[in-house]
Amino acid sequence: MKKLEDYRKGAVGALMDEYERAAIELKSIVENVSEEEYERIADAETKDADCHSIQTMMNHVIHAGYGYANGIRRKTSMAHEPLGDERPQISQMEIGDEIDKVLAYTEETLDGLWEMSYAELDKFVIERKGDFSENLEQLLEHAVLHILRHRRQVDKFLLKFEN
Amino acid sequence: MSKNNLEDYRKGAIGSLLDEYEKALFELKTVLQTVNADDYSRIVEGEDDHCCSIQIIMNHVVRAGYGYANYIRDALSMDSVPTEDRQIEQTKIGGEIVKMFAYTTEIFEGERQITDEEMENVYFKTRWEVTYNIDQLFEHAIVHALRHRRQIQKFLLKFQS
Repeated sequence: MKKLEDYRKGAVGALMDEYERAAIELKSIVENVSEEEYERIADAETKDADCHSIQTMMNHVIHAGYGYANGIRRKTSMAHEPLGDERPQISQMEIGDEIDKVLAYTEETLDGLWEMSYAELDKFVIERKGDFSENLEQLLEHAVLHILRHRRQVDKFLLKFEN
Repeated sequence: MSKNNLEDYRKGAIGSLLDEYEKALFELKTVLQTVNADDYSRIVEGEDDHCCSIQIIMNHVVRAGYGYANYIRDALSMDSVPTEDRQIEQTKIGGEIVKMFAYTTEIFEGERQITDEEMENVYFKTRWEVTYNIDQLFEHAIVHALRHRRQIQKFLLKFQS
């Protein structure tokens, strides 16, 4: 049960709280699947290599989480490890810790930005692929939805396995 | 709000957004069901005027939900109803959330098929001067519901202390 003092301050704090909440919900599901289910191919047809199994999806979720944080770090000239295109393979045993680590990395990225005004958030523009760009609020909203949508996909995979 | 059957999931990228919007609104409704009548209208000191009670937050959430749907409808040249400021009684809030969500799903469940390309490539500027494509505005709408659920949970903790 969360206490009042556990809530982060400001608009960015609210977004980080919801990012964390979504990640913890996902973690509670993937930590409780068996290794066999974790690695099992659920969708062999998909052209998206990230979405074949819970494992490939979680490799992608972790990689994307660092990608979102690094986009912000580049903007604030904060040290970051450039990500390659390869997805490190994360085992079912390791996934809980890896989710915690990407959350901690994101929290460290946002430290000091918690109480940005909406005008400041809108001016904080992050360049992404091609000519696509978004402000900090939009990037964090996308990050939250990225986790929520993949949690939904994991839920669907687990239902498929039951049938 | 986990689903029990695969066929309960909506299809495609748009379907996943609608499913998560529905889940966020369901969680919000679940929290509201725990609120007593006094707390629903109780003013919280130190908060902005538009968010200083659960009732005021919920009037805003419902109005904003119609507003988001209307941005999308307008961008796609679909009919829309004007948004309006309304005072919603606590006993009616659950039904009003359901109606607002239905108004959103109608955009995607009618004869007009919205493509993934339109979701990414149809842009518009909002009243608050931020440019979104449909996909981004949808994400904003979902997180809006999540953030106000969080805010109501904070209010309830304040009321206990």
